[in-house]
Amino acid sequence: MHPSRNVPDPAELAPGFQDTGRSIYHSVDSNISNIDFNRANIPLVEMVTLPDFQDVEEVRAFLQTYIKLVQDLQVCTGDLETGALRVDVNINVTGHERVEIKNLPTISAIVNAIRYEAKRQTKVVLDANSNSPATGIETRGWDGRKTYHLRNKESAVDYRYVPDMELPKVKLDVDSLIPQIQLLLPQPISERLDTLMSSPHDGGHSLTLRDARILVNNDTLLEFYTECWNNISDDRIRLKLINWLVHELLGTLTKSEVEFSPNLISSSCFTELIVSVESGEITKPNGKLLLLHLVNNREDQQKKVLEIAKEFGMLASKTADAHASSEVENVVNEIIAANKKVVDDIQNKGKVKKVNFLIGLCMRQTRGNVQPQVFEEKIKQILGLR
Amino acid sequence: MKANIKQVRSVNKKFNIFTSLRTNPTPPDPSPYAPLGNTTYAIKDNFATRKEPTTCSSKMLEPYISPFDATVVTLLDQSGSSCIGKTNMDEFAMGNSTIFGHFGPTLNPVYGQAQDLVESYNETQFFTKDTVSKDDGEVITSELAHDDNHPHRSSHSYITAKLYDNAFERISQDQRIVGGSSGGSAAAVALDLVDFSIGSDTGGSVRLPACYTNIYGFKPTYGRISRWGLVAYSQSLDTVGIMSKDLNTLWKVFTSLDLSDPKDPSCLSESTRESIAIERLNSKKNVGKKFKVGIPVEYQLEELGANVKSSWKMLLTKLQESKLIEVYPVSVPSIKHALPTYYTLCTAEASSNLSRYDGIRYGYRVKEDECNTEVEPEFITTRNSGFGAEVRRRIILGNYALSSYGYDSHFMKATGVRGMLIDQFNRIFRDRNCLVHKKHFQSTAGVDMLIVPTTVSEPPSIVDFSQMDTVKSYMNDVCTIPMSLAGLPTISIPYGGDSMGFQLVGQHGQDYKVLEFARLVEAAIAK
Repeated sequence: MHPSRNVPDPAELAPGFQDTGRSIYHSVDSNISNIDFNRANIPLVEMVTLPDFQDVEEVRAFLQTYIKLVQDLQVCTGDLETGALRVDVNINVTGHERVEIKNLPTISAIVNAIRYEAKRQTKVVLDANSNSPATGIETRGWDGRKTYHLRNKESAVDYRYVPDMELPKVKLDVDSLIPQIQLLLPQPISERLDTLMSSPHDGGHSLTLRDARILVNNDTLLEFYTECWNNISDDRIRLKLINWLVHELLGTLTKSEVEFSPNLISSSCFTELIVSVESGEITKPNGKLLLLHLVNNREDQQKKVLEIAKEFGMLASKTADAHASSEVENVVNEIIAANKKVVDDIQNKGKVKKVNFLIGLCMRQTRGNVQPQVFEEKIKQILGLR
Repeated sequence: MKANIKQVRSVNKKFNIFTSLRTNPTPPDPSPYAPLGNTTYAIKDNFATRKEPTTCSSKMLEPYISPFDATVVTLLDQSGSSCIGKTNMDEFAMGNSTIFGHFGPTLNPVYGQAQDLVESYNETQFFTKDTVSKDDGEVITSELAHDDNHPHRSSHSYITAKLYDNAFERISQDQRIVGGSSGGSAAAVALDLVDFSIGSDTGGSVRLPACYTNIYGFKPTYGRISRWGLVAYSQSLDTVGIMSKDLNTLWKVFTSLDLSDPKDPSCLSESTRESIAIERLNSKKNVGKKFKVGIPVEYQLEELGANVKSSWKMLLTKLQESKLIEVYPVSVPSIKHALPTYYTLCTAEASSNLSRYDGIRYGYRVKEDECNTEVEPEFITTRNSGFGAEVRRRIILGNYALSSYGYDSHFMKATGVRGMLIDQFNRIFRDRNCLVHKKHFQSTAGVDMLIVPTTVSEPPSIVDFSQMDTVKSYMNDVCTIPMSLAGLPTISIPYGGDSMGFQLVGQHGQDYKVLEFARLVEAAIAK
């Protein structure tokens, strides 16, 4: 199923227009629409694809990529809802007339309209006498559930365009312009994804596609990420960066309904925190609490992260610390004594994983100031699990 | 000359030349150096002026007063010339008779007229609050009122003519059309009411009436004079033209207006002007040399009257005998297709340009009770009653040429023929077209000038013209249109008796050469 129109080479088809006007609807129930003719100097670029879409999902993927492309090149906001980008769909059963669908405000509307129209046209063709064309050239609209007839060839608008004789001719030296424009273009999105996803041996970041997309879809986030990446020298810690950024920071922001902005936390403070946690100076739960504190109290970002951690008594206890060691032992003994049943499960029923439960209780008792590995070691030692 | 208001009003009663006359025309601040000091002029009513309405002789714009002045008006003001009023024309410059406009016919002063057409004059006063642009000093009307409640407003006053109800019956039998569409501008000069007048020439609208009234009519190269403030009819063809009885005056006016203008994108740029500036100096060098004059064979038209033919021959012989010219036959084959090409392109552009007159933005609008608003919001009725028959006809023709079924077969084809015509003109001229880099000849080959008739015959009588088939009336433009399509500088000079004239045509950009040649021809004829 594809448009049968004789479509010219898309490379040749990039006409520039001035937008003539746009409709403004103030209210859904009102039958009045205002037309804004004050659109002089608002350029309009039209692009026609070849009739080579094989699947609805191809259309969706194309549009998502295309929208990202125009945003990335700063051609326009790519916003379908506000009409910054408009998509008309042409669809027909092979050998039958082309139907154009207009008024499609979202990608899901486009996808749903294509699905609906494919079914409708197939049914019309199957129901009709197979010799006569079942569908005529027409333009249809989309009401959210089904397509409906807008106009056919006879009632089509004849725009009667006239070339503007007052526009001076502009001669472009294309051969010298194209390399200059190419220099200005950012790296293509696919290449940026490749870099983020390839292994560190190839200079990459080993990100998953999902994480890489999140970064590529948000220029400021990607910039922040890159700054942090460059701040960290330890490769092992570098690879933890994406989790801290996407899951801890963005997750926290989503909960409090705040958009990411580089003003929330400086990249140096953020990396300092990550390095402190990943090198064991602060426990992970405390690290998360500190992150929240730093975002909410930006003046503290001037201080050293470890100083703040010390102020809050959040420095991680280490086995080497004798005082801490005896404290750890006390806590572990206390927890073991209070959880006889669990201890029994571990020692006699082979449910070794329940050790984690005990570790959790120890952590709670010490308000997260001790690394869980320390407790784990101690519990296993006391219970004789080696 | 000094404006003689009394005489102007009295003469105008017979010939109905003006759509409005200034009550007290005041010359701009006198400067001893102003090149046009102590001169008066009249300007066609399709140039925007702040001091009276700009009507285009249409009901559609009858009440419209422009908030700004056309560049031409501003420049003439700076040159010291005084405008006495605005002249009658064919509605929106569409026509070649100045007969059927909203303000009645303008008659031809060359032919006798016994009775007055104008019964009386009405005076109208209005007030404007003016602001001066910081960028370029342009004066703009920021408020307009018909009563004066404000001490800082400037006052303007003009008079309009009221015609007798039976004006058409009052026209004498001998009367012939004055030509158009700048008929009023031509008549004002012919009757010595002004030193010169400004018209617009889209397909011959300055040259034809100049020829019919025995005066000079100059259509410069397209883009020489700014069209800012000239109401667009067909903007790829519209030019500002000058009419006068005196070549020196005409030359001075042209020099005052020959300037680039950022407000008109089609006005020749400074750099293009610099590249052809040398032509002005060379014009003097041509004196004493023989001009090579081409006679396009395509002008041997069937319709060419016997007296025009014999005068043409006489003129050429006379100029040859004066050792001023050598004559060569040339051929510009596309001239044969010029008339349909012109009417396709100008109507197409007109239909687009005139779509702005919808009763909402400018001038006239039907009253609500004259229109069935259930069926349509006033603009169909407004356009039907606001435009005259010829304007409506051309809008419809233009819409056809631009429609999906007529676009390729008509509009694009005509555009192609126009390109061919320009190319063919470039091949016969010795000078380079200032918009084309390639030159066809070495400097010695090719012709300097063309000399061709302005019309095929004398003007038809008003009665005959009124009954003439519309398409046949378009034939009156056949001699002037090729230069309009190619944008060539052309002056129509009176020669051969009443209402007869010949065009001296130069290559695109060679305006001063054309004017210099006209001077030499004038001197040779006078011998």
